[in-house]
Amino acid sequence: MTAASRLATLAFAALSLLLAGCERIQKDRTEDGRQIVTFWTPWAGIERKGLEEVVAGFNDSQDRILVRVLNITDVPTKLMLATAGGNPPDLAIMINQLVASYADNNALTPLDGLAEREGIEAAQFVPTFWDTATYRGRLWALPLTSSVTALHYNKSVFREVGLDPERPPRTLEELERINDLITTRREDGSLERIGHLPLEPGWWRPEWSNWHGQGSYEGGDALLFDGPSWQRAGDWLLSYPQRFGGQELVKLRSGFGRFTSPQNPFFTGKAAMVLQGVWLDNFIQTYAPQDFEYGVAPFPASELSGKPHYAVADVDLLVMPKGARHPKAAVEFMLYMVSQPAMEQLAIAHGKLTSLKDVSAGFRAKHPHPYVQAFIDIANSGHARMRPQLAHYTKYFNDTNVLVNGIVSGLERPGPGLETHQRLQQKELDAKLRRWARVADSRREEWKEIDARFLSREW
Amino acid sequence: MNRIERGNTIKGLLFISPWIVGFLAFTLYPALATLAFSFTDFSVLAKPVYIGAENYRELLVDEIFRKAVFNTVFFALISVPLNIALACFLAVLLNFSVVGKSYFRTAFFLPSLVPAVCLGVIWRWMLNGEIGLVNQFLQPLATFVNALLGTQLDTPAWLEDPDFTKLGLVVASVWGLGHAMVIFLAGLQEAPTELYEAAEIDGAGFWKKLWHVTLPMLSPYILFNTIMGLIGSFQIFSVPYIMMDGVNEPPEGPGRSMLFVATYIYLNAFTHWNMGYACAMALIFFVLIVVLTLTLMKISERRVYYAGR
Repeated sequence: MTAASRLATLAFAALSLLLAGCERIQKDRTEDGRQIVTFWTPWAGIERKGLEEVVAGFNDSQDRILVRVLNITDVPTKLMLATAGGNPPDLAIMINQLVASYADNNALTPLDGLAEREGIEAAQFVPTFWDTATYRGRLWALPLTSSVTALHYNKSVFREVGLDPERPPRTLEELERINDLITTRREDGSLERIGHLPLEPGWWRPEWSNWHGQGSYEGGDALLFDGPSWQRAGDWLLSYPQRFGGQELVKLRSGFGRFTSPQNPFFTGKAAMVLQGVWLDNFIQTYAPQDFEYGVAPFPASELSGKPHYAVADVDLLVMPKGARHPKAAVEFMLYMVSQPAMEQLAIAHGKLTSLKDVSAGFRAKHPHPYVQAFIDIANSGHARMRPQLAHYTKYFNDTNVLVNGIVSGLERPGPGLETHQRLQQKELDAKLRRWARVADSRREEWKEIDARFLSREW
Repeated sequence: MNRIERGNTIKGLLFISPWIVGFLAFTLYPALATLAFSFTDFSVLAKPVYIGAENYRELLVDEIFRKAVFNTVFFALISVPLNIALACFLAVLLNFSVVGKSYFRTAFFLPSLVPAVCLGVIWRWMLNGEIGLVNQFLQPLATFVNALLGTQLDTPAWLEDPDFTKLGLVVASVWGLGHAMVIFLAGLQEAPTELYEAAEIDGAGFWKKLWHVTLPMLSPYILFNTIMGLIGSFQIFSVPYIMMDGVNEPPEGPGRSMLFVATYIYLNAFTHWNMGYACAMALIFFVLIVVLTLTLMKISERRVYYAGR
């Protein structure tokens, strides 16, 4: 053997080893023969600990399957890449806004066959929460813990300006009157405190039109940024720079600290009323001052909207990515997770709500949130709804966010801004609808095959 | 080619084979794939569908892409000359024989070793409008100027005011000038002392020597640093991405003032699932950088002095 051929053999062996390594790193079974189910979640800290306790309950309840929880940052991107690469986890937690884009891109396993087989029905869930898991008439996930938004207001500030801390505003117009009352300025004219700012915390900016009538998208093939609800929302947003000054608002916000810190403007009293979710209480306990006193109420809608209040519903969905390797074992765990005891255990640990309609007597008593009943009422009021199911949701969110921020900061006029936005967003929607039309028929056939696999108990 | 030569060639190729494999798999293939995907509607998860030049037509009318290009060019045009001038200035200063010379050289170089993510986080705090160090430093200055001239100057909200976000980023980018400075320092060591002696005999002072000897001798380094700086600032991504995170409209910044081309490519590819469109954008931008670099080399031909030639 010459030196060159020895070298070539060596290089070939090294390359083969490398490729073999790429093929499969995860093990399928534990040493004692239990099937391993991988489960990706974005949860860290106390949320992860809460989930791990629930998962431990499942792992201890039988000796065939071991669910391994992996804490992954930026699940949406990594799930997309792992699924495209043909090596996704068996299960993952997904935020409901992304179901449309994942489903349209064939990245999720439809669960209708499973639901039919196991008798999982819409009637068992809070309708708002169930809706988040369905798209194009199909079920894509099982809803787990959930939340709705509500008005959180600082009672001490209400008292300070002579308002009854037990009587939160009942219309958006009243909220704005209180806003003017609470907002204070320093000697140099700069803002010291604001009653309410539609940019804070900024997670639902694209949804503000709902408080003025309709959302940005009510199904079909048209977006509604040029409709009357967004026109009214635009005027409402514009009233902020007009009343408080765009530059002053920018400066005020530059002093707002991060959400997860004691400098959170709601905790420091710099913003007295905020739209927030049920989880906020967890952070109040951790970061707010000892004597922080707050109240919760439905976030009131405008008198012109035709509804008393509105809330955005968000749900943590349990999904099975397309190409999951152990669907049969994963299904067993999914069914465990949607059982009432497991879901309530998780909801209490996370300080959230459960998606199930029936709540056990102990749930309210054990739940750490002092206002949990208010959130349950909002969820069941018929005025809580999920964000729009758009295949281009992230772009819709990013771009609408920029527009709303631009109007409130006085950089953009709502009229031309909304007009341009409608044109650009409609173009995105049209492109996604075209993309869907190209593959719709073949997808539907594929889904039927998956239904059959669930129904025949192959999965 | 005889047997020995062939054997040597094979051995040589084998020795560089890790690089060849890496180049083929991780550079050439992705580059060709980018070209191919740029003519498709590709969401990564579903199969790409050929759509001709639609992505390119779309790019021509995409207002957000134009904004991203404007932001990128604006940033590059301010940060590259500023960084080069400052790096050159520092290198000249550090070339003097002063006490603690090596200490200063290390001190000025160190910040450029800070990883981009840390840099983003550090500057997010430094530039905070209310409690940031930069404004703490500027505040007395503004007060002084206001008292003197009766103006109403105020410290800027660096991260929230779209007029200031990019300038804030320029300030942050100055931290990375250590690399350019070291290259200039090396260039200064190369400058032959006879030239300075000759200039001194002819009666040249410090400024004349700087203008007529130092700068011409440094010209190849200036060109190199300009090209590298330009490419670097055209690729700017991580620092503004991190700086905006959790502060203001992540990751595009207020009024899209911090949306750079690399950010827009990333968003389209990995967040909006428009990989085909992102590929078209990346390709256009690649061509733009190549053209700019070639132009720069062409116009500098007569201005750059290479001692060897």
